[in-house]
Formats: sequence, structure tokens, C-alpha cells
Amino acid sequence: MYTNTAVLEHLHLLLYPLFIILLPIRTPNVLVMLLGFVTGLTVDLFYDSIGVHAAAAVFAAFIRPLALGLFEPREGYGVNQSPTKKQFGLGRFMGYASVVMVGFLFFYFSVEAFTFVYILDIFLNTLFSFIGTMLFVLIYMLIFDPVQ
Amino acid sequence: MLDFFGNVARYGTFFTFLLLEIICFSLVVRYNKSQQEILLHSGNLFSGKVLQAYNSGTNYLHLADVADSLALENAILIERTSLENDPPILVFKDTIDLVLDSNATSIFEIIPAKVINNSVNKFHNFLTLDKGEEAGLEPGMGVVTPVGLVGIVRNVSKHYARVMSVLHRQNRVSVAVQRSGFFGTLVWKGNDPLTATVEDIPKHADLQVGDTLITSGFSSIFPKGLPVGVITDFELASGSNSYSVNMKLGQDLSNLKYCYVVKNIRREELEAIEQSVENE
Repeated sequence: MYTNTAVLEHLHLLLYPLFIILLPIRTPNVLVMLLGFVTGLTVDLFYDSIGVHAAAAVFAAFIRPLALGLFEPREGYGVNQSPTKKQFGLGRFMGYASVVMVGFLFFYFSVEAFTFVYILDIFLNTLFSFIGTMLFVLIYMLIFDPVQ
Repeated sequence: MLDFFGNVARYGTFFTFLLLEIICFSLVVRYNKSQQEILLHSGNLFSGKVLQAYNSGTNYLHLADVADSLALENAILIERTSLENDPPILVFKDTIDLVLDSNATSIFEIIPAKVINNSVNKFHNFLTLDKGEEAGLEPGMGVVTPVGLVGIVRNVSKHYARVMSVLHRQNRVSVAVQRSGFFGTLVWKGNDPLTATVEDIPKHADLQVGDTLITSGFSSIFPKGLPVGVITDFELASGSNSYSVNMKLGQDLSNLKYCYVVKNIRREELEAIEQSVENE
């Protein structure tokens, strides 16, 4: 029982970074970051936490090219390719999305705590939120981006 | 437009990232109370630590000045208490041969000095002080600390003075037992820098281990009543008329840094009158 409530306490479902994840591959990095900043700031307006989501979203946009590089196929990316399940395949897409999402969540919870005194809580938050969020990312991709 | 972003991306992705994060963090600490408090708190912790370290560093640099001023202040206070209190740290009032003048000002001047050279491991030990003629030092003045004797000034130059240490085999200082008043001569046999011997205390004297020895005041060098040390043991050699007393010196000269030079402003007059009788 205790474990269940503890898990729920650490679970934060944050799906909007999917927007950053799904931007076309050839979008300039700076533009991705600016879009991330605007998105994060918009979310912040509703959470009443100005700057926290924006910082994390900018970070997610910053590590996006690195994640794309990790999962780049041998022949390179196509001109108009988007990092979606349909074009990447499920495994590669989930791997790429996981890297960006872990970076985003860890950065978000760090900025939220604003100190590494509670590093264990930050790790637990990141872990449980990552599992929950990736589950919903998977559901989202299956519904809106099904294999033809 | 995309070309422009492409150029920026080539050169400034990381700097854009930094810029945006700086904006975000300034927003975070500007509009979020808990993060703001954490920042202020840790900021205080940090600046406090830095300031503390800086202070301890600069304090250390100023230690010499502080010590000098404290020594001067001590000298003034000792001079003052020796007039007001009874028994004071330095007892002058009840000396018979060193009387206060009618204005009740002390006939001893106290000059603080710093030890700049010292030895304790030879048979004839000397110290060097950082005060000389300019500060009013003359040969024949006593050098003391609040807990014991240091020596007697032998030579002075303009800025320095050479002091014959108590730990000198030719040093003779008249000391007395505080409790009973019997007096003898302090000599050092040249072995342990912490101990000395008192000779010529008559065999009928009342001595106890632990008795405090003070200066007797039978000279123009040291005022009466300055602490010298404590009796550790004594024996009466068979056939001798006087005790041989071992004592522990009050001031450990091996770690001496500051001391006071005692100037008797009536010394010449006193010596003249004593000499005149002796010469008859």
C-alpha cells in the first residue's frame, strides 16, 4: 500500500515534450530550442511555475540532435524525414524518444527541486514519471501514427 | 529565414541553449518562491563561507599588528594597576628601597618588546629584542613577562637590545619566598631550560614544596613582587648553612614571543647612593 502511494507521488505525466520529439529532423536546432522555450513557457503559465518547464523543454530541444545522432541509420536521414514511429519503426522511435524524455524529466525535476540535496527524490521522480510517460507516448503513437 | 537559423545553428547552438537557459533560470528564481528561497539561502551560505575564509585569511595577516597593540595595552594596564590595586600584578608600593614619589606615579616604566632571537640550549643564553635606545632601553634593565623573569638587558643599539637570559650561568637574581619572605639568589646551572636553582636561603628558613618565588626587589633591576617560579624540591646538604632549592621557572623561555622591559627611572640615583656607602 505504502509503495503504491509512494509510486503515485513520484509519477508526473508530462506528454507535451512529444512536440519537441516529433519536430521534423531538419528543423534547425536553434529553432527547436526557441519552440521548446515557447512551449515550456506556455505550460508554465498553467502550472504557475514560470521558467521551470521552459528550462526543461529547452534542455530537451538541446539534447534532441544528440539523440537523433545516436539512432541515425547507416544511410543517414532522408530530406523530409520526421522522427515518428511510422518512419523510424517502433523500437528505434521509442529508443530516441526515451533519451530525450529522460533528459527532459531529469532536468525538469532538478530545476523543480533546485538543489541536489534531494537527488534520490529527483531520480525516483525521473524513473517513475519516465515509465508512465513512455507508456502514454506509446499509446499516442499507436493511435495517431499507426503503421499503414 | 531557415537559412539564417541554419547559420546561427552552425555557430551558436550551444550559446543559444545557454542564453535560453539563463532566461529560464532567471524566470524561475524571479517568479517561483521555493526556488528563490533555495537560491537566496545557498547564496548566503556561499557568500558567508567566502567571507569567513577571506576574514580568517586577512586576520592572519594582521595578527602581528594586533599582538603589538595588545602588548602595548597590557603594558599600560599593568602600569595602571600597579598604582591602584594592592596587591597588584607588579607590587611597587610597599617596597622599602623603591619608594613612590609624592605624586604617586610609578617609578617603573614598562616597555613592551618582541623577542626576535632567542636561545635556551647553551650555557650562556642571550635574547634579542626589537626595541633599543630609541624606545628608551638601557643596559641593566630587567626583562619580564607577567608569569616570570626573562633576563637583563646587556647591550643596546638604536633599534635592538641584547638581553642576558635568566638561562645564563653568570646570571644572579635576588628572589624571595612569597609566603615567608626569605630570600636567596637565583642561578641557572646550565641544564634544563625549565628549571633553575636558588642558593643562599638560610637553613632556618620555612620552605615548602609549591611555594611561589617572587623577585625580592633588592636591586634597581626588577621591582619587588614579580612572579619568578615555584619550588619543586629542596635539600640541606650536611654541614651547609643554606638550602639548595630547585625551582620551576614561571616563564618557559623556549617559546617566548613578547616580553616587557622594566625601566627604573630612579636607577642612577639609587645606584649612586648605594655606591657612595659601599665606597666609604
